[in-house]
Amino acid sequence: MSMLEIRGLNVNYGDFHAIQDVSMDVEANSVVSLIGANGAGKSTLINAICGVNKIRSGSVTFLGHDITKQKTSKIVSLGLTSSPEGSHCFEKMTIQDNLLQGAYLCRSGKERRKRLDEIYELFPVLKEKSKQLATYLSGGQRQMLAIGRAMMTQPKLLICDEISLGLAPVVIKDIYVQLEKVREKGITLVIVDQDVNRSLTNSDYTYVMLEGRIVMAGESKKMNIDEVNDAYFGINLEKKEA
Amino acid sequence: MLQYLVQGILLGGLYAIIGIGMSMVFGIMRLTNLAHGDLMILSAYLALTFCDLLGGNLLLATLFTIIAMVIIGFLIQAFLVNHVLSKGAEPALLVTFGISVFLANLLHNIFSADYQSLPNSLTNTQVISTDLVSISAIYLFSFVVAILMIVGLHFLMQRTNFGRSIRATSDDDMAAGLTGVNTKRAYVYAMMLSMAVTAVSGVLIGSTYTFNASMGSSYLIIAFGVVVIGGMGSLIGTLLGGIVLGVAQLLGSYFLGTGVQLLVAYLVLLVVLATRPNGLLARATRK
Repeated sequence: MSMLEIRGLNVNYGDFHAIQDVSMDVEANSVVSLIGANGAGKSTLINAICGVNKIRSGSVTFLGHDITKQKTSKIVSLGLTSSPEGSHCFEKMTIQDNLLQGAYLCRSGKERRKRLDEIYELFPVLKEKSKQLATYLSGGQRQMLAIGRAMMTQPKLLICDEISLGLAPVVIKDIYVQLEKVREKGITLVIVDQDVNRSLTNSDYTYVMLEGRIVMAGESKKMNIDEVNDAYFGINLEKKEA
Repeated sequence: MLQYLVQGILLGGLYAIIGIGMSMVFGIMRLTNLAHGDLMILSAYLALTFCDLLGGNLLLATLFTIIAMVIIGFLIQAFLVNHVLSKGAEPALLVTFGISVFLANLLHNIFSADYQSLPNSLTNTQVISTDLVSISAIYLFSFVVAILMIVGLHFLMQRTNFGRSIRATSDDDMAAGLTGVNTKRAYVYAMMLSMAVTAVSGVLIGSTYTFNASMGSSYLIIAFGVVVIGGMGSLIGTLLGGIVLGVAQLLGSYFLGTGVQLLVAYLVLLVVLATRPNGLLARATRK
């Protein structure tokens, strides 16, 4: 059984059918890419998995637990969280408080400190700015803070939404290097990105979304970049279906 | 003059206590609690009732009042405010207005319109009484309680895991949820905490002044002034706001006469609003 199993998922935004019959599997200790253009429904899907968006029908199973209708707080306690699109840092809190808040469910102050040191080791720049308010960070640092905060929850599966949005190429490269270290800690990753090439080279398995549906899926190494690009933009889709 | 200044500062402590509960609720869930004054008057009546039942032990009655108000805070947040909070500011505002009207009428029906006061031995005691200044014990006591409560709450909010989770929820509730906070429950805790503070303020108001069922709105206005001057949601600002309002009121009374003292206080409020619309201590953020 996969770590995360999504079956026949449907999500609505009012009357808009945003996610249509999506099924997905994430194996433990893998890196899974989810790609698609703006408005394809990636973030809606992620938020539905995390209990932020309401699910109309279908099921989400994480480590054997049915989390389809669970509260976000409960899902996090099971070991699944995300660093959301737009990073959603706590603006009025210091970097350190942002990170410590990630370990909210951890009862021991000592353990929280230990996790904090681990994150500072992974992202030294956050340590330098630990007493500053999150609102003064740059885009790349905010992304690191969001990832660091999510890691403070000690997730088994971490979903990174829109990992590269609005960031300079050199910063993106840096973040991917750090994600590799996250993976080495035994955390399973789902990475949402818009760059086809980068996603295929940095993941084991790739899902392509278009207009609320999964239109292509496969092992990243075996996928043909041209075919993925076609699926991404919806070119020749009608032909394939026929 | 010195007497008025000292008296104004001490009155500021009492005003700060009136404002704290409201400031917290606003700071945490961006909710202007229009029932704040009536909840305070409710606390005073509860303390009066408990006091009668307990044979005049005001300290014990205060403890019971705090417990009762915490339960009421739970009911208000869990069953009323939480249901409308996600629908924007106005529905929640209307709910608190409804609570305000309901409480004022309920109290009027139960306790009639007669003025009441709590039997507090501090009320008529002077701590210092010289030719230059005299300080009433109840005002000094209120001032000390205000400082203790603000320091205590500040510590709770800034230094504990619980306080951090409340701040996180108020900052970005979606992100707080992703760190494992049950955000609806966090709001319930915040309201319960605010009601505990409101209970204390009700007892102090009831000990310092006489009160009746229809006075909630006048205390709401004072709370509003304090919170706006200090900066909505800032605890330390609440103390500052209280002192500014208290000193303005008593200096106004000294220079212009007792009749216009509240007018002077609200003029100061207007000046602060015009020059620093976010309040004296509100932190500017990018959001």
